Amino acid sequence: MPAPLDGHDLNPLLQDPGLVIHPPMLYMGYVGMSVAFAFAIAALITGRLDSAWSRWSRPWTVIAWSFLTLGIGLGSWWAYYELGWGGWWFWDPVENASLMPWLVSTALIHSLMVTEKRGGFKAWTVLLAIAAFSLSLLGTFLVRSGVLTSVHAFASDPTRGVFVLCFLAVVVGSSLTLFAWRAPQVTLGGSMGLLSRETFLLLNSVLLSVATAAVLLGTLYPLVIDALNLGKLSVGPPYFNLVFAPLMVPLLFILIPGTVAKWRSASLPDMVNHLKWIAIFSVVLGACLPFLLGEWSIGAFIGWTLGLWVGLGTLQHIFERALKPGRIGGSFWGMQFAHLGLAIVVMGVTGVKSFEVEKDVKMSVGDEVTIAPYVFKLNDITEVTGPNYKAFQAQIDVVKSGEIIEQLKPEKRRYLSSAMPMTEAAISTNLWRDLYVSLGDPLPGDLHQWSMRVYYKPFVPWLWVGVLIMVLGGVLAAFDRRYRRVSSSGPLQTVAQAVSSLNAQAPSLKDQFFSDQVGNSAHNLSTVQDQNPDITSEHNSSLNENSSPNLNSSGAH
Amino acid sequence: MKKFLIPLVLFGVLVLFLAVGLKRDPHEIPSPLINKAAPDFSLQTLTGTAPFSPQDLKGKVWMLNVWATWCVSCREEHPVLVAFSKQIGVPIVGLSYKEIQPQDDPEKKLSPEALLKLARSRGSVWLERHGNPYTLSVMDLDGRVGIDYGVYGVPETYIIDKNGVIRYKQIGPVTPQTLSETIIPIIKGLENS
Repeated sequence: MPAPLDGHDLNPLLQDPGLVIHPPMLYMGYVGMSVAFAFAIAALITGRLDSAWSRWSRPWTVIAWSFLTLGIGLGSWWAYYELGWGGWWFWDPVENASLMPWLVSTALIHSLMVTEKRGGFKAWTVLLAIAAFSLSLLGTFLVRSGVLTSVHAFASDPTRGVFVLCFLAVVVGSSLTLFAWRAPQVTLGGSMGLLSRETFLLLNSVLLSVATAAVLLGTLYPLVIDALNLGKLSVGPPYFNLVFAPLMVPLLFILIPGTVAKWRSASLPDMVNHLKWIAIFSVVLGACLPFLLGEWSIGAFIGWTLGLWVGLGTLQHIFERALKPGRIGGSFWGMQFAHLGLAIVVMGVTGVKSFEVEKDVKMSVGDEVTIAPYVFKLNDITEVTGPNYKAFQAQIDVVKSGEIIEQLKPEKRRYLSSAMPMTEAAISTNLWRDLYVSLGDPLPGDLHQWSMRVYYKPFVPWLWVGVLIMVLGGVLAAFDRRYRRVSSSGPLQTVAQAVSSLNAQAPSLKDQFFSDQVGNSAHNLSTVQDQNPDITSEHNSSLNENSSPNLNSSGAH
Repeated sequence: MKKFLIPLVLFGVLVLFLAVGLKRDPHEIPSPLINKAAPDFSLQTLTGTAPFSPQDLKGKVWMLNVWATWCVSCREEHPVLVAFSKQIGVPIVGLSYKEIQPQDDPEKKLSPEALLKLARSRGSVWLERHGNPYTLSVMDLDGRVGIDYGVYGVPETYIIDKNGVIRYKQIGPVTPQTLSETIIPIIKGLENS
């Protein structure tokens, strides 16, 4: 094969600093899931699905989740400003590939809490840990093998696909076999009432798992249909929006009751009493806001109500906790920030979906287009030369009540070596809205008339702010001193037992699965335990409820 | 016990589908033109003989091959076509596709006649150097015929039967393997029918 005439450059879409940040964050998220996975497998092998296992898994899962959240958020942001299409989520297979582990790990974080505090959901938690990592591997496969058409398939190769698929089959196949073999021996947790925090967390798991399944189905449907020789098709945003939104509505609704419900058994009248004011306030404000911001619609009403419900419920929780004495741990702040971030994202999504204005226009120099209260005036289109591209650059003044508030310079680039055209959007942003202009093409035979897209996108910055707050929450929770400081930490006996038995049984396993830090603190544990046998009351009760936190060990040892 | 096997079973089914999917190409979209009449056209030839139209080959099986001198994959394909032209045994019509690229005439100064002349001289030199498998070549300078035929990459190859119906389309270069395993058998089958 003759050599190409010229090199091809990096794909122009990737010639952006985003490439340096977004993939490593996603990678950390994917690979981070391997820690939770390794803990789960080790716990299955040793038969110790106990609260020590869930305590150790939690910070690692949460930190991986934080990276994944950040990675997805960055990807969305990058696509938004780089692709020039004005969207921030496309339900592309590769996006879905990152969303699925995110949904499952979110469920895992919540399920781990029940396993730690109440010894319940053990088999389910293990399955979620396996699923989170498996879906990360599946993501790798989908992105790298080229089995699905995606805007992200920058380097796909079926040969590599064979390798990744074999790896996937071996790793996931063997862990699910192990699961099928060991999970039947898992003991059940403490009893739980029909109305209790456990119930809400169970619902959380169910809804998130169903959402994952729906996304998985939509993502793989074209592949399945093709494999069955039933034709070629693609599944687009309408399907995903249709199935995903109805699942998120109950999830957001149960979030707040879930955070205030008591373990084991909660009282409905108490909870109603506790939450009635924010409920009323959310509904009233949720019904009014769409009027104030534009047009009333049922979608906007539901979205704002749920966003306010989650946000205000979280703030109320923080306020109540702050009034009580005692140090507030990182876990508490972590949870509240993550939920607050989610509330902001929900409001951002609702805001942009309900009130965005898009105009596709034809403009010549001197023309104006109005999206009230903004007037976009095209002053000039000039040719500019970049390091490896030539571009047409438009100068657009954004005028609001007679004053120029911003100058936007969208570009249409043509990269020299690959001859690929690229749209470089120009965005003016503040806390409440983005003004987004991207340059289309010149009309045939005339370089002075251009097609142009002018967008008014309210609340888009809320998406990015919300994601960052969620990530902050994850980091705060992962670094809670409770997980590392021995003197103030949980069921010491269990931890010490688990570590010593792991040491005795499989020293190599321990080296492989646990960092030095955990190993060291485990050594400290036994000494501390001698000196400081009194355990905080909260943990004491959890120990009592869960007096035999391990598997019944007959089959295990 | 049984319910704990469910994830494993589901995963097994999933891997099965993924394995089958790996053998498929999601980008391969069957051409809607297959088994439809080949779009008609009348174009200047490379050598300046009378304009060619698919009607001229009515009653014969023939092959349409899209090429251009700027197309890198064509250089890979071309020797194969030259070597197999005898075995193919039917007329091969070359469609010289958008020979003049925008960068060749950035200021659009050249007249249509000058463009045609430039394209003809470039094409002839190229065929002289690399060999000429074509019965004749036609000049699709503006790519209109390419649009009718749904060309979205050069090279592409079509087989058209005696009644002027497109029977086969290949995107990308033909190889000795595709020629001997697919294209030549199809041509033989159509000739005998």
